[in-house]
Amino acid sequence: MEVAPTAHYTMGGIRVDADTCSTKIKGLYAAGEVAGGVHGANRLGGNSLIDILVFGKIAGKEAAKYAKKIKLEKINNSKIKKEEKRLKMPFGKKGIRPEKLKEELQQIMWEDVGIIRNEKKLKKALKEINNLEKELDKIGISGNLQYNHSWMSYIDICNMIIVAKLVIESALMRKESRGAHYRDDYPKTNEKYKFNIICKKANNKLKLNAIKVPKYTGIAIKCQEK
Amino acid sequence: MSRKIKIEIKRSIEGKEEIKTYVIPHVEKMRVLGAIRYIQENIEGDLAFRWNCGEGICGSCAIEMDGQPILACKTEIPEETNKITLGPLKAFPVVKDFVFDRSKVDRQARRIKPYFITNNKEKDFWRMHEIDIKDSAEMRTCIDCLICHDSCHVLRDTDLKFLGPRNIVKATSLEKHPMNSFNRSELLKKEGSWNCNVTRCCTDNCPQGIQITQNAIIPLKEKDVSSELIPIWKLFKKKKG
Repeated sequence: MEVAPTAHYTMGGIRVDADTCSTKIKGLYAAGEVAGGVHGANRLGGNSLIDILVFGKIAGKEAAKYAKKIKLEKINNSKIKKEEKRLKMPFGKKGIRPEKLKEELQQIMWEDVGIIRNEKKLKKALKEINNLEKELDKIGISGNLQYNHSWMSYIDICNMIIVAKLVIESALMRKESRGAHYRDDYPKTNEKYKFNIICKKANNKLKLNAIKVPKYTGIAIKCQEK
Repeated sequence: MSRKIKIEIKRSIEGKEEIKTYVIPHVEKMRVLGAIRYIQENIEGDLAFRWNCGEGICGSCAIEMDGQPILACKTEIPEETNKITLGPLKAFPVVKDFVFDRSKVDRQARRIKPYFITNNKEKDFWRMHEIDIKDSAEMRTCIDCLICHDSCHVLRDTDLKFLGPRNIVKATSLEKHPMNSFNRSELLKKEGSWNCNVTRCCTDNCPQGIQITQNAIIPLKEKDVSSELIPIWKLFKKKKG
């Protein structure tokens, strides 16, 4: 039986409000591994199950409360048409298979943005992923819209490239080792880098902000005393 | 040096059926799931196929290989074979390729109240003997793959109203629980739980090894007989208390 280290969990994710699990988009709630900030730099074993029970319940209740008090809005028709055009772009064209690009991205991330990172490898990975992004327009798939696995791979690879770029930019910004993020050019933990990295999209560019870690208010101690 | 094998798939796109053959490289101990995923990734991107865990515990990948219903992730391609034939489960209407429509089974399930109903309001814990919970526990290992429905020739070859092994297993897991307080006999009889003719094909093919005919269908029939058709047993039950 093979025993090997691998990518098992993602600590980062969508930024949510701790009391309601609501994101900045009204009506969109997130809980579990997809939401970031619950486990810090490294997750303790078993805590993912508790995470989904506690925050899953909170997100569900808050989503139900929100859904009861709003009415359905009308969406701009041209926005729907634009998104439909973007999603259906590769149909009927002859071109690169999306599975091939997915495999190349996975190989780059495993080799250069893996367990042991350093500046040289991260910058090399970023350059290769930028080249990969230019190939997205050349994807072509066939078949109809039902249960089309190639189509799902195409939608995946568009999103995977964005997430990969965010991971690399955040890893470059954090010039220390903390938790699961280990860099052999900065192997020690540095108090100066005790912040959260928040990523935003502004004018089609990715922007990273450093925000101080929220202060520990001691609520957990009160629960224990009861 | 890998040898090549032929995979013959019965495709069905928007109602049109055709049989296509693919030639793929064979690796040692290759499973059917590996063969289908190779075809999906490298040759035919829009082959419709459902799978999830890859370990035989979710029940999503039930298909027919050479006419026999199997779980694709657990079945190895036999070492000396050069060609296998794959197709969807024949007991259900096909949506596309291997994906079938199971809404009829789910509708039938809703009509028999497939959830736990109890009068026992103890807050801390229930006292139960392990031997009393054994029957219900065996039925709960069902992974809902519907291979039993594909094996049952009452469902495939006749028009009789039959509930089907999967829903009877579900009902048994609730009826045999020692804290259950709702009797589903009337609902089950109305949906046709009596039309099993004890051929036991479902028990032979169940990937979890549940003794469907012996431990689910026959005990439910016996319970119906002893509680309704022969009222003299009712008198004895009341006297024992």
